Order: sequence, then structure tokens, then C-alpha cells
Amino acid sequence: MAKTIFIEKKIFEHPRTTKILNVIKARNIIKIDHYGEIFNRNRQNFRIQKDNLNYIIATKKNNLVIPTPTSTTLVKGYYFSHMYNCIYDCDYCFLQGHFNSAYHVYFINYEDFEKAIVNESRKTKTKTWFFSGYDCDSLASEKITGFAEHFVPLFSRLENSILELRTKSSRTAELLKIKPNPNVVCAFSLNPQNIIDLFEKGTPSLSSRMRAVKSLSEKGWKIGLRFDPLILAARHKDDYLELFELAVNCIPKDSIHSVSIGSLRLSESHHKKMVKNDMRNQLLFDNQYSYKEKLWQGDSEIRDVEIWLSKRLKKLIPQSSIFLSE
Amino acid sequence: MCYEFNLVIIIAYIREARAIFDLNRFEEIKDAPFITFREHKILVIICGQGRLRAAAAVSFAKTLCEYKLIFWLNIGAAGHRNLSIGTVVQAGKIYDLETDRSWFPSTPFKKNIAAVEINTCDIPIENYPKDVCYDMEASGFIELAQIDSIPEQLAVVKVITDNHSNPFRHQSINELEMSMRKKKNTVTTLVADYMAQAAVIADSIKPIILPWWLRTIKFTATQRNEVKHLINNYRVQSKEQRLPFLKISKTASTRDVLNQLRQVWSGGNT
Repeated sequence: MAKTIFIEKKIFEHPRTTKILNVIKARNIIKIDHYGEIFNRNRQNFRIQKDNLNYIIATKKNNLVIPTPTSTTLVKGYYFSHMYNCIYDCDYCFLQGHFNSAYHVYFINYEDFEKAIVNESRKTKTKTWFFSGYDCDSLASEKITGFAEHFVPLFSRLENSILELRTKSSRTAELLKIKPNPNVVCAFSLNPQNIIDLFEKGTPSLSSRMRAVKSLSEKGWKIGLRFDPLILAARHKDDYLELFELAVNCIPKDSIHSVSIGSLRLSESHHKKMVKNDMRNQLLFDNQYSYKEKLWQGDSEIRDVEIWLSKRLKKLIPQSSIFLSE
Repeated sequence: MCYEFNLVIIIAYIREARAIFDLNRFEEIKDAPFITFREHKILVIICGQGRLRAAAAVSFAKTLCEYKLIFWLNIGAAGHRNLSIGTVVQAGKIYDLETDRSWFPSTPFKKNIAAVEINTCDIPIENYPKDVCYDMEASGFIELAQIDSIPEQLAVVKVITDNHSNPFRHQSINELEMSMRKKKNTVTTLVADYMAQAAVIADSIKPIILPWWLRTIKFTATQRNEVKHLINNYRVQSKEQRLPFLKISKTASTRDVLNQLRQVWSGGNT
């Protein structure tokens, strides 16, 4: 049970607010004017709040659809966030350095997001990517938000646009009820089980993620495999090779929409804030990583392993795209 | 042992304080601008009526605290249209009717203590226009206490002492004290809970302190930050809280000492 849910006054009686309140049973409900009053306050401690979660239900007015940052991804497109923060607690997650607060914010003005997506997709005739799951996990909170249920049908009407649902969740029940949509890619972040145990607290195990991948692909959904971030030491080389093979053999090749691989990277400002928030996070103090050109990234030894792994992956699946930080 | 902190409790009237705490156990601080009681790291300050006095009491408390980390608690009486006399509530939102500003303290109490909006006013409210609690100190308290504090260091607990059927103007201070006294056990349990939570939070946000054998070395601010970073790095990598003693030459410059620390602590190799 949540301790406190803060709700913006103007959407207090919105049907989506009611739906969320039916799922998250709140002990206390406080009306607020704007989510920023709580979420953007200075002097908050992300780690303390993460262990003691509260929730905010709000509407997002500006920057509904944002161009993807060129420093961290290869694909040009847009991202949008129906939610801020994530139910999982990965040690490397940049959200710890991105937001002042760990409270979950649910934005419920889906119709405004829809308009912004349609506007952007009409501006060009080339394929446009829309990524969800940048500031949250796309599917993990589906039961609360009904996000995929709302947005997947939208993308079947937008022929030149692709929606990527990036997730670590094994929650597929809602998606399996919807007719598969060729303009939607369910992209699963994968890591070897020993890395999940060490650095991805609260996330589903590799085997349950693979089961989710399999059931969605059998139903006809396009699958994206995202080996991102690679958390490497030389001893993990074989674990990743095993993972690549497991993932590729788990589903038919024609179900694989795309495969990508990316190194562990954080912007310098995010890394510094994360260190300040969580002085006990072992990964952030790894000596094999340091600041280079405003990015916190691995040393040459790590890069060699990453390049080697990416070549192996390319051999396994020639259409995979590689994103390794410079 | 957890990192040390002070707990400051701000209360408007001495009779409210007496109703909740056994003040004989506390030592009174003489010649202070506010009536102040102390028991170890707990300070109880009687601020008087009104938000300005509450704010002044918070400022005064900061001068008395021996620890950098302070947890703040405002206990007092409040009125509400419907809530029955004796209901204990915690503030989820504090709104100042004069300045039109809001604050959001933590809601740390779990035992069926409802989190409510508290509106702070300059004069006692008698008609309870909105479905919120009314008091006279909370906004002054939190406006000053929030400086240098995270929300989890701030809490406000109120006992409902007046409502529509028993409004403020018909009440004597004796009745107010009686209403508070009836809730003594509940409020003291909440204070104990808050102390326990404060200890956990204090431990998780404690700053890095240089070991005694490094404290006399006159590092620059930048060097001192790097030493702290090295200490933390060593602790995380080696999972050992105690730092190994290093022999440092008396004639070594601060730069030499820093180099020595870098060599020994970086990566946790001792």
C-alpha cells in the first residue's frame, strides 16, 4: 500500500485517476496544484525516497515529445514519458542522477501525448521512431497505467511511425490481449543472470524475460533485443556470448525486428549526482570507468571486450546495430 | 551506532508540552529567548502562538543543536470542520493563507495517522471554510526548518482540539490541554517512531569524516573533497568501514599525502 498519493486538483476526478487509485490503494491522498511542487523540490534524497515510495498523478503540459539525445543513442527519433521513475532499482540507472525525486509520477493526459505524436509524425514522410521507456519502464506498470493498451492502437493508424516499448518487465498479459501491431516493437533489455542478480534489483529473472519474449513473438509481435548496458569484466565475456545465443535461439529469426548492443555510459553530471545520492553503489565506483569527454565510460580494456562482443553479435545476427560510446 | 543527530520539537504552549511530555525528565535551559527543555539530543522549544514565533523558535533551535543533522517536529493543536476532537493527524501539505505558499513535509507515521492539509492562519479560524485543518504555527515552522533539510527531516503532528460543534472561541486553555493529554500515549509513540526512522535516515546520509590522523593536515577544500572521495571509494571496494592507518611523514606536503592516499586507497588495495 502506498503511503501518500499526491494528485493535481484539476484531474482529481479524471477516470484515469480513479483507475490508478483502484490499483494503488492509498493511505493518504493530498491535492496539489502542480506535480513540480513536490517532484522538482531542491534538497531531496533519491535513495531515501526510493525506499519509501510515494506517488504523484499529474498532467504534462510541455515537452510531451522530445528528440532523442544524440550522445547516448544512434537512432534519431523522439521519446515520450507517460511516467517518471521506475519500479525497478538498477544500480546503473541514470534516473537516480536525472530527477530530484524517486516518487513515481503518472501522467494521465494521454490525449495530449497522442496529439503531439501525430503532429511530429506528420512533419516527415520518412519513418519516425518514438521511444517510450526512457524515463520509466514501458510495460512494468501497465496494470496501473494502461499505457500500451492506449498507445499501441494509435500506432496502427500512423503508418510512417514506429513505437518502441523498452522494458525489462515480463508482464505481457495486457499485450497478449491486443492484436499485434507491425509498427510496435517490444524491446527487451537483457543481461546475463549474474549481472541481473548483482545490478538490477527487483527486475524479473532472465528466464522470465525470455519466456515473455517467446510468448509475444509466438503471438506475432516484433521483438527488439537490447543488450544494453553491457557491464563488463573479462570474466563476463562468456556469459554474454551465452546470452546472445540463448536470446537468438529462443525466437524465430523473422520475429526479431532489431538487435542492439550498448556500453555502460552515463553523462558526467548524472554520474556525479548518483555518486552523491548513493555512496554505497559499488558499480559507480568501479575503477575501470572514468570521465572522458563529459561521459563516464569504460577504459580501453572494457572497450576491447565490447568491440569483440559486438563483432560476435554481428556475426550471429547481421542486421544488429551497435552503439558503443566513443 | 548510528550517525548522531538532534531532534527539535516545536510546541506553541507550555501546557501543550506538559500534556504530551514529562518535562521533569528534561533539563530546562535558563536565560534563553524561548522556554527550552533538553534531554540528550532532544530539544523541546515552546515558541508561543503564531507563525512568526514558530519561525523564530526554529532559528533559535539551530543555534542550540550540537549536530549538523537536525530532525524537526511540530506538535500542536489544530481545528477542523468535521474531524472529532482528539483525532491525531500528520501534515501532508502545509499552506499559508497569508503568503499563499505551500510546503510538503514527510508523512512518516504509519499507524492510521491520516495525512491532511493544514492551513496556517494569523488569527484563529472559527467557521472552518474548507475541509482542511487550521493551525497557527505550521507554516512558520516549516519555512525555516526546511532550509538545509530534506523532506524526511520534517514532520508535523496535530491533535484536533476544536471543530464545528466545539469551536475555538468556546474553549479554555484547560480544555485544550485536556484534549492533548488524552492523546499523550499516541503522540509519544509517534515521537519514538520518528526517532527510530530518523536514526535510519541519519545513518544513510551521514557525511564522510576524515580519520583522526588526517584531520590535522591542512588540505585545501579541493584536496579534502578528493580525500573524502578516496575514503568512500576504498570503503565501497573493500566493503570495510574501518580505514587502515597510514604512516604519514611530518614533513610531507599535502600534495605528497594525497598522492600516498591515492596509491594506497584507490581500488581498495592496502
